[in-house]
Amino acid sequence: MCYIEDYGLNAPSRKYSLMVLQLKDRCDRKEMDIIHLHKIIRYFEYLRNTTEIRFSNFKLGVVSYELEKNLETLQDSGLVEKDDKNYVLTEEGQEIAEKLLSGLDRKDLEKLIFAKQQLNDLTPDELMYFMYRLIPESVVNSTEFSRLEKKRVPLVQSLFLKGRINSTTAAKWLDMSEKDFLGSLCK
Amino acid sequence: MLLEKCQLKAQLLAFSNKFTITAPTRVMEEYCMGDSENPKPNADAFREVFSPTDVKLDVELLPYFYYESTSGEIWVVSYARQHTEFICVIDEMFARNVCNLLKVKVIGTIGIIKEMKDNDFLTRQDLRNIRSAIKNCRFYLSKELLHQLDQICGSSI
Repeated sequence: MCYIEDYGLNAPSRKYSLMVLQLKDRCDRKEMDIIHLHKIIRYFEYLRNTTEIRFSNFKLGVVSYELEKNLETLQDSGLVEKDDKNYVLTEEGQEIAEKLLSGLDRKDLEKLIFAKQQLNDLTPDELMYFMYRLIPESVVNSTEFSRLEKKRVPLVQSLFLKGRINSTTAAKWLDMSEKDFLGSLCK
Repeated sequence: MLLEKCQLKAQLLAFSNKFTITAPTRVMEEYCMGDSENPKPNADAFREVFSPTDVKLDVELLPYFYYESTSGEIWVVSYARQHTEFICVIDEMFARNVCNLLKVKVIGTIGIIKEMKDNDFLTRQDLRNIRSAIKNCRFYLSKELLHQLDQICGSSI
């Protein structure tokens, strides 16, 4: 287990970054850009109802300086590399991520898989809108929310049709009844 | 949908003699609220066909449903996790995603129609009526599922 000490993988932001990069999304893709990585780890924390990693509300919603710095460290350590805008694991990173995943609690693993599968293939606008509505306080310093609100109907419909929210949530986000929301999809 | 819009009470009752079907009380409550198309739902028929049952909420599911227990699906999935011999009947993709993640067996309305057809609980006229009812009411099905419905109904018409 010396790799944990060698790479400082007791730090939640490092170990969860490695693990989430090893999982596949609904399009069988492992790679993640920075905005998806931040939001997916935050959604994972939401699902676990924990705050192991410090996040703040910035222009694009919830982001984490801690996560950003630790990603840089993982790159410097040769476990993660960045091609253009996407982060991927190196061969050594994949080996270590597999070991970490095999030791992860089953319920946490399910939540990490769910977070990646539900969010990684969303467009940036869908992703940001989902997170703004999920964590309302993240709107505070947003430069994007008012723009996204103007197209909330197609965004919410798309999130529903992709199976990322249920009709109860969709109706709530659009201030209408569930029946009316479902009816609006049939037009 | 199958009970009210497609008027399949007798067929569902016959089906329930071969396969146990049940619904959580919460689902019946949702049904009984009605809607603009059906302001006075037939609660007695629902009880007769689905034998509503009280379900203990599986709190492990709450995070996936935004820590709320208001939607009927969380109760359906809870029941299926406690009674693994049962299969959930859920149409919405979100809850189906949760089922797939947690390895809970799930089918949808179209799957039930297929089972009923394959077990000779539906006549050709029933299938015509189902197709017409589903296409004419405010019940959302993806293009893929509508295509499947056409295949099931079409092969008998």
